[in-house]
Amino acid sequence: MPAEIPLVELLRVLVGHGVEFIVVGGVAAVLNGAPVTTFDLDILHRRTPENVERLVAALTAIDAVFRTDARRIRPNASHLMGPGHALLETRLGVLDSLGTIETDATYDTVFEDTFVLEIDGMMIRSLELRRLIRAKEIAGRPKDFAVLPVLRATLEERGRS
Amino acid sequence: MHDGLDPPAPLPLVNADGVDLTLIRWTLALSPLERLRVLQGHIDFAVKVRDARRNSAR
Repeated sequence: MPAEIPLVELLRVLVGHGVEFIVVGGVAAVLNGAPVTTFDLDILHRRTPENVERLVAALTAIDAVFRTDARRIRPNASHLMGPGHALLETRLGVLDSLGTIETDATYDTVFEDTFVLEIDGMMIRSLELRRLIRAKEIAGRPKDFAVLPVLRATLEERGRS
Repeated sequence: MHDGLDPPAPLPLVNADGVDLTLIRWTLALSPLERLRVLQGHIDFAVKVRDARRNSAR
């Protein structure tokens, strides 16, 4: 049996701790079938005290620290209860845990635009491609615009098959 | 034997934006786990290249 790849192992730690999250960003694009690449896993976590507690436990298990701070600060519940983005590095790779996406969309408000897929025995919730395209359009940065033609073409190809 | 039907039009290889549609069809044919394996391969390769550049700069 091949060794588990770090991305899958990272997802397994989150699932194993019962964290409620939605995969967004580039990995969501990949899960939707778009041939794009990225270096981090972006998740939108549910901001309830119970879920944030589970998330902190999961992040502790993978030695997560803020990659934007040389003091290597570990994320805690107060960091993750807010709407901001926790930009982390872990022993399994780079992970961004987001309180909101777009301008103020939360786990609960984007939930209806998600789907669940089975990955190596895990049920993983991902942002749907149409909503991902919208999120990129709203984000409006050059790096978001750069990937939009591929995402739109993927949506069209999925409709063709 | 000719059945009287026209053969299906070939699928385009590239769209108007220059996006390689064959690559999209290939990734759509993969399972979600296979898609993550491809992505992880890209990440691993990029890390190797970065480390090689760091080492060669010393």
